[in-house]
Amino acid sequence: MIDKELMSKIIDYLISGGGDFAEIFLEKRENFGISLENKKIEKIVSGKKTGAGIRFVSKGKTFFAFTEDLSETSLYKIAKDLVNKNSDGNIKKNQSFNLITADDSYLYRKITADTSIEEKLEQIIHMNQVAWKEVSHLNQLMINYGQGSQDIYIMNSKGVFIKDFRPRVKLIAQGIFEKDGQIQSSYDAIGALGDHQFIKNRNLDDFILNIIAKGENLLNAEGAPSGTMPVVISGDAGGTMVHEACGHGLEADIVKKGMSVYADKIGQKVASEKITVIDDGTIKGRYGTGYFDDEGTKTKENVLIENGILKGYITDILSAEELKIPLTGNGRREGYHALPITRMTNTYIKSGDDESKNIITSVEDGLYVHKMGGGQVNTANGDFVFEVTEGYLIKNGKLDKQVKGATLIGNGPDVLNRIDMVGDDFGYSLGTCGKDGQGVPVADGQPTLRIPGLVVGGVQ
Amino acid sequence: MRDNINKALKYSRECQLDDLEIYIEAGEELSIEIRNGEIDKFQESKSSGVGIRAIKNKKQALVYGTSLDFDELKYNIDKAKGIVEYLDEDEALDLNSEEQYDGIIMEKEINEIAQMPLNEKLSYLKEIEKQGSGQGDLKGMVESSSYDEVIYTRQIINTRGLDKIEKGAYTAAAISLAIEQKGIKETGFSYDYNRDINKLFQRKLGDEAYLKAKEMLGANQVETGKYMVILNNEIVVDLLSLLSSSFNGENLFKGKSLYKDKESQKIISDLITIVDDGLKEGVLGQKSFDGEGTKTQNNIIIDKGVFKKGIYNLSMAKKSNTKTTGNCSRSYSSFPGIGYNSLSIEAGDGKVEKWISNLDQGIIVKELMGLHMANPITGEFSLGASGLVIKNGKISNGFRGVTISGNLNDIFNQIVEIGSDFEYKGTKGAPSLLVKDVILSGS
Repeated sequence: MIDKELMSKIIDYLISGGGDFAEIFLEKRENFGISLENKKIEKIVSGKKTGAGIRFVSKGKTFFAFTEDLSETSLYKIAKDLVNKNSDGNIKKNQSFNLITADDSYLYRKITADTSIEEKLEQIIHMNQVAWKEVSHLNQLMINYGQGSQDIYIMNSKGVFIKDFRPRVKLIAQGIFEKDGQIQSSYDAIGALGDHQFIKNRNLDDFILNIIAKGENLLNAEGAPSGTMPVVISGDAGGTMVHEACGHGLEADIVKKGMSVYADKIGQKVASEKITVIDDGTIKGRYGTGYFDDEGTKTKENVLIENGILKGYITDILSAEELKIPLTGNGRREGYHALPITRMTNTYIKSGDDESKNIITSVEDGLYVHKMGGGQVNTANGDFVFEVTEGYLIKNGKLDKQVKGATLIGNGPDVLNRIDMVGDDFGYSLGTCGKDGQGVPVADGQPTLRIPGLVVGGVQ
Repeated sequence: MRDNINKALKYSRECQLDDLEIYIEAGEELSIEIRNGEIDKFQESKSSGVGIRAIKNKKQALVYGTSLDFDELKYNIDKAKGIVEYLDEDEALDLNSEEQYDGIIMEKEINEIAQMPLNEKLSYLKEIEKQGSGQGDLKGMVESSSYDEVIYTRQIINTRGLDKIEKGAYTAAAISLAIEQKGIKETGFSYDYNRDINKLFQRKLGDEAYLKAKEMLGANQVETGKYMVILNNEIVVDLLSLLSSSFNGENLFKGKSLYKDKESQKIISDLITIVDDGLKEGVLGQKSFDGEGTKTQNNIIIDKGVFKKGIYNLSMAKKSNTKTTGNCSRSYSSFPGIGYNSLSIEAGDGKVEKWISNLDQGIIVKELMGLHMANPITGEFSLGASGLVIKNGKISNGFRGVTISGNLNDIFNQIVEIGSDFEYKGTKGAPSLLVKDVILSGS
């Protein structure tokens, strides 16, 4: 993209111009997508974006600009616009940079030669055929395949100079079902930090048949009840709850503004002692994994809550400096066009000691959440919601009828404190997390959990 | 630049492509965030994107990049040519030819934004931040106050002689804050979009956000039950966004709509009229042409509860035996889809104050949480809700930690009265609504 010398010259220029911190983020992003709908290959999109984001921090003020023009003139013009006009104009040679390249140990598998378009199409068409062969009320099926990669160079005035390569792959399918005028939809997604091999190694027939079965069952489900009741969230349900109930509130950029219910609570008990929450960007092949974060900080395993005690927050460079806490490798950005902010990677509640199968039997009358969908949180007061995409009533310790249309609402610290059973199982889900208009890939997970009382917003 | 585009169109003929379309978006953006009266973040950028849609044998491929260099255009045309073979045929695939209209150039708005001194923009931010801090004992903690401006160009050129350009601009400001009482924080958020920077600067967003947070202090839950509910105009816009997915021609065609095969039927309350008007001047949704270069128009979608027509782009219209409504929505990196230009529910003459004073017991919903969780295809929703409780004709206290649920179709059938307080929230607008029998779940 551009050479090391030019990058370091620009960093020196920015620092000489009064910067306390300067950074260049270079990115080449390639995307490829196939969409099948209405039994046809409707769309194939291919694209490439290359750009640079330049950050300049002076006396607590952050100045940022980006460009797709990577010429020396263009980058200098940006740097010039950014620097303090009172600069003395003498360029001081700051430091030398040694490139550290991310190794590929965190990828799902070593990258191999890319699979041909023909083969990818064959797999998608095959899934479509499998779905329609099934006798069901399926009315529409969408299959979206997305593959992309980021080639990244980051250099900053703290001496960081890194190179990272992040291939990602994702497969999403959604079925629409119709019976007697009633419409239902069901959805699933799989993905990894890796290439097409990840998709190739899945059982795609199972993936698609599962979606059909789920949709078919929803047509027969009843409306969920409303009110406060005991809730069991399965180890297969995904991790939306931990992501919303505490993950966002532990992001240091929110904490530093006083907008988190978890602010000023390090060392205090914020959850039941059965609860340990970890954010770990190093888990091999996971959707939220990266060798470095988007500021060039090495990712790591960060214990945020340990046996109920708040241990720390996740940070980016600026929030870590302001709060005088360690860097955790959580400074992430959507791309060269955006400033890095504190973001989760792979966030989960650690498995506990309660036998998972006993958790359902322990509840007389309640709701069992088998799959969660999306969610949202107000970090300042801690209120969060998440969607139940597959839920069942529990009657006398046994699973009863399937219910649909439920959302659960609670308050983060309150719910975490009241979780009284933590299962010995574990499961993950993946998603794109949105914050300040930027989407980044994440994964979340948890074991089976019991909450003695949670508000269920059903339709009855 | 022009030469490169012409060369690209010519090159596509040489490659034996049937047609080529170039869709260009370019923007200059400024974004400022202040904290405690000082600049916290300052972003300036220029960006551009070029989408190339190649058509051959009734198949289309899209390849995008960020430059109009001929080498990149040529590379992308070659790439598109390679991909296009793999797609399935689409009989309805179509492109616009030259049409008789002029693209809008919003010179006045652009100049006013460009010529407004940076200091004025900063003083407005400081002013709303000060408003948000409140007066007296109850301090507002302002998380951020931000100002954004965008000056943009959209351009579409194809091998059928279509060649249109539009230039526009808009500004936006937002403030989010919290007020703490007894260790509990309540939040308030307020924002506005305006093409006219002077009008934006008249909004007292800080006061609005402060009031929102203040009235929530001491909020608690409400009991599970069915309530008479006032849906505040901001919430109605959210619900309209969900409902509007069902009038999207693609969803109607593909069976992803509640209202498939229901044209000319009464589907919701006859108090409701919904229009989409891309021609309306001065609003954020104003657009001279859509993503395929079709001139936008005023479409009546629901007339007094009766479903008149869905919205379409060229190919979906052809498949559905109707005409495009000028609603092709896309970016340079996406295929033509379908979307609204400026969608609104028409105002009525109800007064919110009067609704409140007439209610012995009721609820005002002011904010929803988890809107992306609702399923627009089935119409089912269950979302977090917060707002105010009405007792004996007066507002008594705030509530949160509650869900509101139901089916959109039912909600829009249970309407008692339409408010006169129409307001835009981005490209969509609505008045407040008084609705009966709405399910809230709480304690």
